[in-house]
Amino acid sequence: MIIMPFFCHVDLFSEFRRVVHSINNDIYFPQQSRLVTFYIEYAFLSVFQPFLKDSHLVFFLEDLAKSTSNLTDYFIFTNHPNVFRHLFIFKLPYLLFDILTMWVIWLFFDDKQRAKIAVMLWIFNPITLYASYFFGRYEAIPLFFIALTALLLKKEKFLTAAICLSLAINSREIYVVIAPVFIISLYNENLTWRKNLKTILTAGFILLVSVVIPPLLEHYLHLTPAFAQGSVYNDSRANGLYSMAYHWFYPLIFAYFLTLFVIAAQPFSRHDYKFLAGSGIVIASYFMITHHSAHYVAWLPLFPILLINYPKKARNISLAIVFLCLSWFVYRIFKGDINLFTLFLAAPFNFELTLFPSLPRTYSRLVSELGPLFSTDNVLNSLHTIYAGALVFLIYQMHKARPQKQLLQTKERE
Amino acid sequence: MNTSALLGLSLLQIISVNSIDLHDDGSITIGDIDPYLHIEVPEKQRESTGVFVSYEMSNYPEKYHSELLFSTNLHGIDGQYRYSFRLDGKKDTTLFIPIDFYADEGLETLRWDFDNCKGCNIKITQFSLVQDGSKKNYEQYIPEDYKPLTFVKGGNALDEKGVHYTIEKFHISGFEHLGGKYLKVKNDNPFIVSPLLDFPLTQLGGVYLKLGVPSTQNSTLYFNLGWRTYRLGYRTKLRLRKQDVSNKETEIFIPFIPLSNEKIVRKFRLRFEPEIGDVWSFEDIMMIPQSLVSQYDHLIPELVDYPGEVASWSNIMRNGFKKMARDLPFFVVYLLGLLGVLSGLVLSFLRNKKA
Repeated sequence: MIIMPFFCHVDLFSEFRRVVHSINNDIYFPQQSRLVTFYIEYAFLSVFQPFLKDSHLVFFLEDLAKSTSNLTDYFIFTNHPNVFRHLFIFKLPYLLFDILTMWVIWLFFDDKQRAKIAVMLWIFNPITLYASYFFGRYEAIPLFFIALTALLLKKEKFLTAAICLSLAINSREIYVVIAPVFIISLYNENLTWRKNLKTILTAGFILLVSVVIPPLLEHYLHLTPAFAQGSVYNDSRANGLYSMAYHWFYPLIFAYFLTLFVIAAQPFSRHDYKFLAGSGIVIASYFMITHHSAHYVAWLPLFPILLINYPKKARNISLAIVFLCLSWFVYRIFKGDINLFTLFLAAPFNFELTLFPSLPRTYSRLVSELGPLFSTDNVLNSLHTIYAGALVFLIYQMHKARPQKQLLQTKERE
Repeated sequence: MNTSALLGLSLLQIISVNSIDLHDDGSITIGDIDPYLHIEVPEKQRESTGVFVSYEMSNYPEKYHSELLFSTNLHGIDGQYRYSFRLDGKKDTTLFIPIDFYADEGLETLRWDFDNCKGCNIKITQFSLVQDGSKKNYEQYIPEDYKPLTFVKGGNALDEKGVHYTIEKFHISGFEHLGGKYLKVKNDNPFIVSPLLDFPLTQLGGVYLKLGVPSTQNSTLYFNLGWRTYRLGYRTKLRLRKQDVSNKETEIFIPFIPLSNEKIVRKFRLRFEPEIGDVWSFEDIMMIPQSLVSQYDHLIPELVDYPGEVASWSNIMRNGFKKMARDLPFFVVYLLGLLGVLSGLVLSFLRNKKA
């Protein structure tokens, strides 16, 4: 709450400019993807819109096909005297969904001492704090649905869990990559193949329908997406992933299928563990080879945090989460990402942002005469390696966090 | 914004005013820099085909310039859609502006701009949007002396050789005009504002100045160039530059760096960091097209940041506090909310400890 009004990335402005425009122009089909996130933001802003100031000017959208803000429009937004109020209002749904996720985490844990550790790691981990309240991205919404999916899997409510995962995928399309993990985690070796097939086919059908609903709506109801964005269904990147179309993605594809096989081969039937460990490992593998934006990493911490529930000792996996947070923070602050968005908000009228004394700039100035060993690039590469090491350690700990025998026996008795 | 005070606009919602004072008696006073009223068109009147305006003036100049800009469903206020007209200053003014070419696009907002009318006191008695059916009743109010109304689309083409201006055509503030090309610095905020340019930013490369500073004791001249487009005021660009004037004369070329989405440069403004009493001569002022920039770019002066706008820690904090002060109701609620959450946490902690 303290930081909510003061920081943002231009993406937050673009997002809510689309929402404001949709409310003012009765647009209900903005794009094919992320519809759930859009409707939640739409509902929130419909309530809070009277508190926005000069919205016709500040959120004016000239060309719907170019709804991602340019710097000029963003500077008008950040230069407005009520910018802090606007930011606070825009982030309110994220705060609510964060609190709901915290509640789901609490319910998820068998041991409430561990639940306390998990909740603390959820509230105070800098990665999700950064994504939701500094950067201002909507990651809290799909993460809530993911947490709920895990809880419902634990309670063996498979079809409701499938609906929840569908909501997560339609909140943030990246989560389509964990859909196969979810399907595999449904297999129960204690049941007949008929019962297994029935559960898996029904859940698979729900997921499939959720992915094709937006393009079907567009086709049969003759709707036109106002802001022209594709869906998971027709996104060539998502399709290319499964068809191995990108050679630079091969390591990820191998890691991905290896994970699926390992999860499928687990000799016990804890659906929730299989889903969390498999999904966590798949997403962590993704960050081994891509480092596009600092806030993407917010997709990851929820999985190991929930996995704290299982192993005999919570220490190692908790430490792995802390290492990830620390290495992410140091790497990102040195890379300059964390400096950038703050400047754009706080110094809206200055285009010469490069003069800001950011950490990489200050370091570069201080070590300019020490030779190439200490160069900024070298240090940055080293920090990236440490961060990748923390990811490997986390992957190992997530795999190792198998449910202790006591938990498995309790489950079997139930 | 309380619009009920403006009699003629009582049925319309004002989105914003800039450099205009609203008075309790329903009148407005026009300010110096970039004055305009931005008005929303109600849903039911978006297919209007004309604007009927009637107002009374006091303290008016002999002539002033006014513009009515339109934004539609398809186009924002970017200067491509507007009526521009020069008006004689007189006590009562009634005019009708036909805008039938907007009916298909759906009129959304109107912006009424005033130039060269600083200090004018205007009482708007009527500001109505006219529907197609009753348009004929108002056509008599398109007075001949307001014709031809210009409908400008796309801006003026900039001559390939550039366009020369003399200082007489500029609006001058903080200077005393000594006649001809000579200006004397009168206060610590002197600036000059160009006449209406309307050049597309895609064609405009920059402005060339040939200056003489015969009386100055300083060897360096500090100044910045701001320009105004149809969506933005002079905040478009603010950079402080410095130029060596130890020879008592100088040639300067300042480039316009186009910002995306901004299409037409309406006017530019040059602000100077002055020495009061200095006399300057403006030997030549010329708008340079993009095609000639390479011939002038060796005259670009050194850039220094404007002291109040560098992205330093202190300026970031100052800027933040300034914004907080301008939105006190929000910050009171925000701080009370924080206090509430904090008290709740402390109380529940104490209760748990006791239990």
